[in-house]
Amino acid sequence: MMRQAILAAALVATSVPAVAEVRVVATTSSMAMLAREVGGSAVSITTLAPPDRDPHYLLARPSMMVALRRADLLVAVGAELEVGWLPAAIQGASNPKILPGQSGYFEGAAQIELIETGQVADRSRGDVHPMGNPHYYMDPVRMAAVGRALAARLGALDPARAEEFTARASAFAKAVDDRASRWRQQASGAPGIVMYHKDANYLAAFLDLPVLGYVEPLPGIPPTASHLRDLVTRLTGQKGVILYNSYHPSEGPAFLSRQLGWKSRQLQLEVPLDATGATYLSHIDQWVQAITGATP
Amino acid sequence: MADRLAVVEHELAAVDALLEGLPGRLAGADPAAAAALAQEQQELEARRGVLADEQAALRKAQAELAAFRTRTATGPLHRADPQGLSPLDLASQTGQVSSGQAFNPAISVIPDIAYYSDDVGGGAFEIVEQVDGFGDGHEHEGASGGHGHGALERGFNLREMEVAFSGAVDPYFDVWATLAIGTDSIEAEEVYVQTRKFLPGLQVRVGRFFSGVGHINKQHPHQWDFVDQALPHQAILGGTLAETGVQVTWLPNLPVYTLLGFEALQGDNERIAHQGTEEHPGLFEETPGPRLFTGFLKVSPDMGYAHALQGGVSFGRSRSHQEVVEGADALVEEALDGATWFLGTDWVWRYDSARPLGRGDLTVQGEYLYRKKDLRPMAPDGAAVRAPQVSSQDGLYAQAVYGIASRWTLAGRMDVIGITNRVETGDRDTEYGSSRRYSAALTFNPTEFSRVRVQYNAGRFWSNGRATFHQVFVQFQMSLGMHGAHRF
Repeated sequence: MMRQAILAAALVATSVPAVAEVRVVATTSSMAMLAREVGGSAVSITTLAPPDRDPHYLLARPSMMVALRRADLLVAVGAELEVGWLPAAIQGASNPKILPGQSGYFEGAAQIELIETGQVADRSRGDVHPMGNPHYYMDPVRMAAVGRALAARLGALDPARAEEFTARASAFAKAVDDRASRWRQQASGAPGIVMYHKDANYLAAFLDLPVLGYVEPLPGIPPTASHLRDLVTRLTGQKGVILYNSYHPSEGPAFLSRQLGWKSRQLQLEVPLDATGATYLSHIDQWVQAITGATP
Repeated sequence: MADRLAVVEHELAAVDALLEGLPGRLAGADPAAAAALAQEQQELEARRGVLADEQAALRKAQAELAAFRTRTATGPLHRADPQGLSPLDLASQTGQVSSGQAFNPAISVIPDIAYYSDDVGGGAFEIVEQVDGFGDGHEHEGASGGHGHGALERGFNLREMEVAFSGAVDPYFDVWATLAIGTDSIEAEEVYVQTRKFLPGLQVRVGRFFSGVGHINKQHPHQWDFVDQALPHQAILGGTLAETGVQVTWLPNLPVYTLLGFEALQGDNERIAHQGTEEHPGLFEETPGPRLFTGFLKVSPDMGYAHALQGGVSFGRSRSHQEVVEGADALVEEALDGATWFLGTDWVWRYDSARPLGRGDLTVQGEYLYRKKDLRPMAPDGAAVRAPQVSSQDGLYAQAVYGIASRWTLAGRMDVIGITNRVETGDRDTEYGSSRRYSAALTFNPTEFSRVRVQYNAGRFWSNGRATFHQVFVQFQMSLGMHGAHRF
């Protein structure tokens, strides 16, 4: 009798259908990090854009369409950051579930308020984003908010795990909260930053630091000699630090660094492909340290 | 609300004044009076807190009201008033609740301007057009719609201005419309409806579109890596295979990108699916459409973020292709009608270097096309009926585009057509030679919306005898409006 019961229990245990993973396709590794942090083992993640490439200029590759064809949920940065390739990849994938407006389409930018909105849609001012600066993934507080929204969406796709997702998103938000004041404290009194592109503005706003200038004369336009000279003239005598990304050329920042006597630091804008929430927090740590000029 | 704010601010000022006076009063006071003063200070501070809170709330409400008024200043008031606001005068609002022009489709405008010169008196395009063996030496300029992206004059040319509209019709359909506007013509390059959500992996397209066969056929001129199109397409398909019909593509749910396509097309192509009934009524009988059927398969394994490879095969068959052979006196010697088919393969490999603005990126691609025409003479009045005419032609191109610096690319291309170039007419078997063209192009892309290109071509052709030429192009291409897609 006992043996039969154990056998029956074992059979039941093994025959419980494994709950299918939610197949998530993230456009960038930051969004993949968020999906991993919130979704845990309940999601499988494919990332379309590797962290070392500029997400403005990717190509809609066939392999992206394969991933999107099989996806239950697309997690995009949004605000037209991926406008050059994501619409083409979505169109090529012909997966009705992940079209904008469907429950399988999640755009982080739609969950939060963006900064620098309402710019004139005029490309003579460079590669402008009139809907707002899309690089909000450099703001840990906004990322925590996007994480909560993502948990709600994942919960709608997999109701059995909705609570787990909410709890994980809350834990991430709390981890951000715990560090927020320390980051701000570390950065208080820092003189400000010169960036290559307008991609760490959210972090500057979060730390309440002034952005002193950009190496690019206009968004998306490589630096010119006259622009760099102007920057030097304007910033001589002030203090600050120059920050640029792995996919930006180093000549402009190096010139500024020599002329102004400031430190220049090349950092990854995106977290690694397999990043978790903890990786993201230390990624922000790294940026804060670079901004405050402390050697890591 | 403004009145209340004034009252609060007035009282706040009074309380502040009293609080300011306290230290002075405290200075000379005895213990009992000091205790009373401390009590008073406590009360004043409590009152100050209450007043400050109310002031903040009132200021916030006032700011909200101001923002609300700004928002509604140009349009009708169409929502409940936020709490605490005096209602606006609804009777005076005469506006209309309308989305105005917000339903307009996405628009892009792409002017394409070219400077051109050659060393054969402007005749290089004619040499290419009349290349031996590929047929159609008799064609008249503009006889049947003309050639959209063909010959340039020496000097400056407005090649075309592409105007594209697109948008979702409803939850089920998208529409794309691309017009090529020249100095004296408008051509509907592509106008089609495409399903948005039909069945997973399945898409249906109806209308006029660039066929999906091969790799570059579906590209618009502004997407080409050179000013001119590859020779196999020019000689074998008479340019881009643009047809009216239906296309069904299926992307099965496989780990490797596999796209299957099928097209049923009207068949209105000068070189593989032409109907001669309009130009020569009486000689031909019209075959009802669709006359041209194509199929294609594209496969692309996942090779990570740095590399991408795609290979494809294409096939097409036309039920009817009609052409005439004209004698020296421009009289029709022979009317031919029959079937044609073509077979092609296309390969693209791309390397993404991850360096800034395209530096170090490399694309290598090539296509091969083979065409067979099996035509029967149609016995025009008086002429003797001869044996069927069977002709086989082919061509290939291979090209590479390399990012020599940020925003700069250098491209090289080799075209060979007529490696097979035979026309058999029963008693006569004619073998034609092969023709070649070499191209080099230097392109500067100031942004992804603008492009300046310099190109040099050298051609060695068999075209009514041996013919060589050299061509130089300078191209200016701008993209205005909607952000274009970076297609593979």
